[in-house]
Amino acid sequence: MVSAISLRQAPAVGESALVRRALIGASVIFLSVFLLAPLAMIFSVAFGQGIAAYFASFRDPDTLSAIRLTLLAAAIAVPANLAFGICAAWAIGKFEFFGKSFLISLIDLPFSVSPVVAGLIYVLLFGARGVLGPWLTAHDIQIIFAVPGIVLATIFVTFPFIARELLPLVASQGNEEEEAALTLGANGWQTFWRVTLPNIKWALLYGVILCNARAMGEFGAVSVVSGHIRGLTMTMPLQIEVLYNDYQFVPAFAVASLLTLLALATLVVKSFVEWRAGARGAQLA
Amino acid sequence: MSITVNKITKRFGRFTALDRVDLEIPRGRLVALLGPSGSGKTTLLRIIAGLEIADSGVVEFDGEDFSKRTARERRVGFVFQHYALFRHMTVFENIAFGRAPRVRRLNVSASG
Repeated sequence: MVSAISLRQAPAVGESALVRRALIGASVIFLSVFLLAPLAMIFSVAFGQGIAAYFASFRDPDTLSAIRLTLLAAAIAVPANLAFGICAAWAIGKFEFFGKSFLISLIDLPFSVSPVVAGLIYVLLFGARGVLGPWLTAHDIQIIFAVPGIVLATIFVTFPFIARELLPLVASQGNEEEEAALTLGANGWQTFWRVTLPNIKWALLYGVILCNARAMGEFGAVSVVSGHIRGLTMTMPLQIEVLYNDYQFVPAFAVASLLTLLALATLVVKSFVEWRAGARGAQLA
Repeated sequence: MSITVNKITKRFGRFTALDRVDLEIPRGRLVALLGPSGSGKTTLLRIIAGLEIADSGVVEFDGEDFSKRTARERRVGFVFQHYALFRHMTVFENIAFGRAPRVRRLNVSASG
């Protein structure tokens, strides 16, 4: 038996050293050219005229307002999708009901639809000449070309992240622990906080991280509904584009470096969460 | 406590798991349900515990209708097929959970 296994495995992993090095080398070159070089470029241009110029970029009130708006949009979109994601994953993972597969495809819609189309949907719905436009104008509510539109577009685009992350986990865990908690006298709320939430917390955190990264980085959908009013409806990605088009390369790349740092931080936290979740899984196995 | 099961019917889609089942378990008696897999033993137990709702029929504890009560109110002890231990808790916390939901905060700490 032992010899049979070693015989079968040996040729499968026994590529020659040359082939191995060529494959690894190709991947490293590819990653360097397409990922590392652009990343390095962002920081090299951002700091191209010195550290003082870099930090001066963030003293511009329009840039500061763009950063604030991005943080605000993420601060609303992430909790909203957190609540929705838990509800959807719970309903879909634990219960059988009519229209379940339809709901699953609906959750995926923001993944498959172009963000620009997503933005246009909101313009057609809430814009001045849109379906709800006259009513909104009559009640003096502005959504398109204002902050609410940006928040709505962000929520739409980041809709599936948390739900998608939780769904397979919730479905695979089944109902037994919750049922055990119920027979032991826990009410629904206690069951959720003490049994369900601890079991999904790492997947939940992972979903939140991805959702947040996308919420802060979203360009297309936000660009359509924003109207590009400087200092009012500009988010960080939009501000980068405007600065770049104005030939203000240092400020443009300085703001870009902030988003890049966010992406790097996201990667670090994501690896940490995966490592923790993995350690937890190994411990239980 | 005596348990009376009266004409319980449960269907899953087109499959009838329980068809007007009657069962009388007198107080203090140890009763075993035997049968091939898929014959509805688990379903019947889950209906008695309140984890599943019967399509029709009545479950009585000591002659009182408990059919509409929640699993929590029925306080039926239940050992699950896969034990359903709480993965994220220690052995102590698993055992203490039976008390925890009824007291507001767990003040006992595991010693040693």
